[in-house]
Amino acid sequence: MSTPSARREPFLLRETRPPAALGVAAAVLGVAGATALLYVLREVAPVLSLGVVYLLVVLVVSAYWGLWLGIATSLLSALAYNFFHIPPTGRFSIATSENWVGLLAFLAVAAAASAVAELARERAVEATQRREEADLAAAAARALLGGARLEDGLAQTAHGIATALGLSSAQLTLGVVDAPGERQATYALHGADGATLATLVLPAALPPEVEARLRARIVPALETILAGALQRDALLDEVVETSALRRSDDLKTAILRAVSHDLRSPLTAMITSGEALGSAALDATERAELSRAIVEEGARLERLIGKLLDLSRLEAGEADPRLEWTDVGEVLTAARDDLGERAAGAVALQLDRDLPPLRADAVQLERAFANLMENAIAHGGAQPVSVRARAVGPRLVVRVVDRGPGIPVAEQERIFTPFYRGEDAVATAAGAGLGLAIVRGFVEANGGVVRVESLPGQGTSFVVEFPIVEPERA
Amino acid sequence: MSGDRRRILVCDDEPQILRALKVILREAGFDAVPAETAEEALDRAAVHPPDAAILDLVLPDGDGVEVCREIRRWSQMPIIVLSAVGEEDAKVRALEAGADDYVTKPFGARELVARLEAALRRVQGTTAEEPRIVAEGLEIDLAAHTVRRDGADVHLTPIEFRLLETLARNRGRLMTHRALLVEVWGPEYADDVTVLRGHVANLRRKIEPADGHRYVRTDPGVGYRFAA
Repeated sequence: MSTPSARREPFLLRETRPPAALGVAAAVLGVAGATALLYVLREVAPVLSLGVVYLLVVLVVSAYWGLWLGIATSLLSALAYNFFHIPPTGRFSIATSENWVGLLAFLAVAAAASAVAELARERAVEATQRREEADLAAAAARALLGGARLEDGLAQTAHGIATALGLSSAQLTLGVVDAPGERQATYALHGADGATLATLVLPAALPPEVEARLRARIVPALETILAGALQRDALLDEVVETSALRRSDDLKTAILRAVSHDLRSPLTAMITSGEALGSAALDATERAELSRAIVEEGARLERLIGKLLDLSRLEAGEADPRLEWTDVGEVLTAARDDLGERAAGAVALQLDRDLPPLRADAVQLERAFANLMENAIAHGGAQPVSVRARAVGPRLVVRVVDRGPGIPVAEQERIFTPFYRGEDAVATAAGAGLGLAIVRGFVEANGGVVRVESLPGQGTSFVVEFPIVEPERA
Repeated sequence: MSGDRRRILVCDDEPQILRALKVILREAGFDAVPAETAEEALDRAAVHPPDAAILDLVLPDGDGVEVCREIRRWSQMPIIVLSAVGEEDAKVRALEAGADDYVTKPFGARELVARLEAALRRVQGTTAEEPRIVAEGLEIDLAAHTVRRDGADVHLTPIEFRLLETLARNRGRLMTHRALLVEVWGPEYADDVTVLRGHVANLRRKIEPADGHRYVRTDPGVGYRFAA
């Protein structure tokens, strides 16, 4: 459909006839011209053999204007020939058999030429239709197979059909359309298994030839292309699903690896300490140390299992927060208490008065902040950690600041990835690399954002921000 | 032995585990020499060489495998590595670097002490070349190349005999697939674990009782040991 007007067409194979009035004029003028020409030619050839000149006129008129005008031209030619040139001239008389033969010859030429021309015209019309249909199929293939979204391709294809068939509207919808609008007709597109893939909705009462083209050629081509497009979409879905499964497999492998080392270390400490407690020769200090080790390592194990559960919930998309009005100060205090005695001395809380409440899941925020504090203690180089909460304009901002070695800029985004451990954490074999992934997961699930600000050598500040929502309007 | 307690170097980055192992080893008649890092372990081993070493494979400043390799440059002391399930590669690397055995975390004190004592016994016994090895009804005559089980002759192919001999000479010691392949078949077969599996299966059919593996034990993914 790109350059239809630029295409060169053979003169005789034009689809439509020239206007009939032009044909009548051509016939009259042609016969008159031939008659005049015969006066000249009579000087050089016997007049009875000059009837062929009229044949040219009959031939041309029949070819361009069809059989009826051709017959009329034949009769007119026979009359003119008879009247002007065949003796006795000046009156109509068909006396000899030659004249009848001449008239029959004119009629035969008219019939043959008009039939041949008619056939050629039909072929031309058919060729144009086929070309339009091929263009339509190619456009549909581009729209349905090449595009990103099948829905867009359907709309484009429907538009192409309306244009090609000269219809006021066309609509292509996946699946079955049960109740088309008034004065609309539906054409079901079937797959190889007979199921209805899509439905084409067109204006009702199409001209029979349009209907025939539609059923014989356009619908079957669309069915094939649409089946291909749907199959492609199904395969793409499968690919997406497979890669999601692979990612989740990678995660499981990583969890197993982390579990292998990080769960077994506290377990080993608990089992060996328990066995050592059975030793006969223990002084009071040793006994106290061993029993404390069992309790501490048990708590460590408990925290790690909690983290793994949090992360697997986040990864499985099952961490829907239970939103309720939540006091951030209470959440931060509870988070510090979760970390036990160690954190009580290491974390200093600074809470502004009149902090606005947040619409959030308190349990998830507690987990997030406990992880941030634990992380800050672990990487804070034995220096105190400060946690400050205040309202800044429309946002509530919590900063967890340590005075540790800091995080290189290149690592600042990666540290939020599950099982990623910072350079220094790899060296000290501390932590499974879960904490910050949990922080980001829970903070974002509750409508907040978390980012890190850090310069190597100057400590690290984790900034958590939540939008403040007015309780009256919520 | 002049009544001196044997000294065992223990290297693990978890102070809780170190403290517990100290008590457990003392109970078993050893003195623990604790170290928390690879560097500390190598220093302590060099200053006053211990009788054996227990090394964690994951250390803050490096790899237990490297510590094994360093110690082996100057000492044949028994080395037992501590590792976790899923670290089969690291176990094999440690054994190839000279470790004698491994214990998987979390381990029981009794198992660790038993492995340690077995390794120490092997070191003491290595100099004496035994002409005959007898173990629970199985007699291996190394000079005559004959094997009898419960008094009846067992016919082994030359390869099977070499395999059994290699395992039995390192009685109790875990032999990696590679070590066995190099020793019995030669270095060009070092990675041909399938060949080894086939011959171990044939050997077991001939010497093991019907109710299980008594002599040749499998350490999955790592190797075999003559465990009688």
